[in-house]
Amino acid sequence: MEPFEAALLLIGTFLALFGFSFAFFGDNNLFAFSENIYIGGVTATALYATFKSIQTSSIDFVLRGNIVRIIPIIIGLLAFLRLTRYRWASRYTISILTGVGIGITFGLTIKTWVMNAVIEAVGAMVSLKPDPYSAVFMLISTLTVITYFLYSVKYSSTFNTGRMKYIATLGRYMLYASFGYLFAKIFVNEALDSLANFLVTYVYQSIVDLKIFFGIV
Amino acid sequence: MSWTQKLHVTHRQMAIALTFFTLVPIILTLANVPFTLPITIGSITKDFYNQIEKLPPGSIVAFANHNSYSGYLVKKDEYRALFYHLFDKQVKLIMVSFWPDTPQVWTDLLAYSGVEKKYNIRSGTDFVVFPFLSGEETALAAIAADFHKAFTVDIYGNQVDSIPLMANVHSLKDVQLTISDAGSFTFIDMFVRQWPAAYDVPSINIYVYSTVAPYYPRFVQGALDGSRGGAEYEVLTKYPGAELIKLNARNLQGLWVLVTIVIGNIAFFGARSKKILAEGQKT
Repeated sequence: MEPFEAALLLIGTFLALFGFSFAFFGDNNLFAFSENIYIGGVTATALYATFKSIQTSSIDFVLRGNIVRIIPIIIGLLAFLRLTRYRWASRYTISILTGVGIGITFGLTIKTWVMNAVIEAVGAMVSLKPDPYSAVFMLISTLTVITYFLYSVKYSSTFNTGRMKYIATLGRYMLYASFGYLFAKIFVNEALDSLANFLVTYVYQSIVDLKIFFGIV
Repeated sequence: MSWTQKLHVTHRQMAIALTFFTLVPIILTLANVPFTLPITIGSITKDFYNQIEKLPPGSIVAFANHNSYSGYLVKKDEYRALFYHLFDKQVKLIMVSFWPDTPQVWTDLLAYSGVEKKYNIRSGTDFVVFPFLSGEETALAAIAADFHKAFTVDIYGNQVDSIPLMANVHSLKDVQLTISDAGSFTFIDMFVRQWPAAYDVPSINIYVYSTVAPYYPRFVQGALDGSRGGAEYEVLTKYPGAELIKLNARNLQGLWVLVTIVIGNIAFFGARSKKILAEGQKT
């Protein structure tokens, strides 16, 4: 590590600690200083990276003679006409993006989201894997949750308010359990993770790097 | 002041206590004092490890990364362990970037892990780093269909057609394993649709297991679930790093949170029964 890099590392560590001060002291000048530098830096990096992306995916191809690639550039530029009185032209950008998006995702979404769930549930039931209880539970939960989302029938149908309403209710409880797991896993777990992540990444790693730089073993 | 009132913990006191428990394994590691709480290796981490283990030398691995630089910093040592594991198996690695600053992630990781020196490998013959390509799902589809049509150059400015590693790699059909990491939950759905589901290529993931659970094991055959997955993988590969320290810190934090919940509940019900008793004596 060069002395300049070590100095930058030290500055970065202090900026990170300024950011962390929010947890103890709320909004303060050191936190604001760190936050503004971060936003500025990220914006500059993202702008540069986006320009490089346009260059490598389109401009370079056009310069090499692949003239067809000028069409997506023009379609992209049409979006800026939204700011002028020719704003109708920007609809082409939106509609083409939407059309292409749906086109490339539609078939594969059915394969990965719908077919996969059915195949996995039925397959597990047939082979009784990973264990018989899990296989039965998976099939029941899949069917009851699908019943809960039967939007092709009126709400007052058999499945919602009639004799079969208990199936949809069971599906709702399955969803509650699933959301509970997700909340515990993602939010509570990640909240604990974030503190360890912060201190290890921005303090511990910096100290290790500086120890190496100063030759302290 | 009663003992239940003394037990009242403010948000700031809780933050200080959690910081203290996080600092314990960090300080002990810095002081070279061995400190590791018991750890068990989960099945999905073993699956992840085994998918790489069974690759024959010379296999092509494509790594789709949607991680920002800040996202990468928190799992730097996990990535390092993965790089060492992949190059221990002598695979060829294609690194693809789906976030504006992901190319910086690759270059920093190459420098940090020192794989070029450690394994005597070179850009172009053993690994390729491609620049950021915007569009997410459309970019994934375009790259999977033909690397040569999606990119003109790698991040070092070498023409794709002149890169030796890419001579026999055109689409995902020429790839033996795909790896994904993400900066957002929706990217995994896009990745699964356009890479493993469209090309029937094996896939492993380094993000949050919940995001790949619906696709497991049909489209995704191994996963590292957050910090815990990273720590387990560091133990399995015998390349320990920061993830293990984080897991120790998190276990201590978890214990502290559990203790406060138990004490809080005892205090709450104790105070309530005392109140009921006092009200009973009044009447």
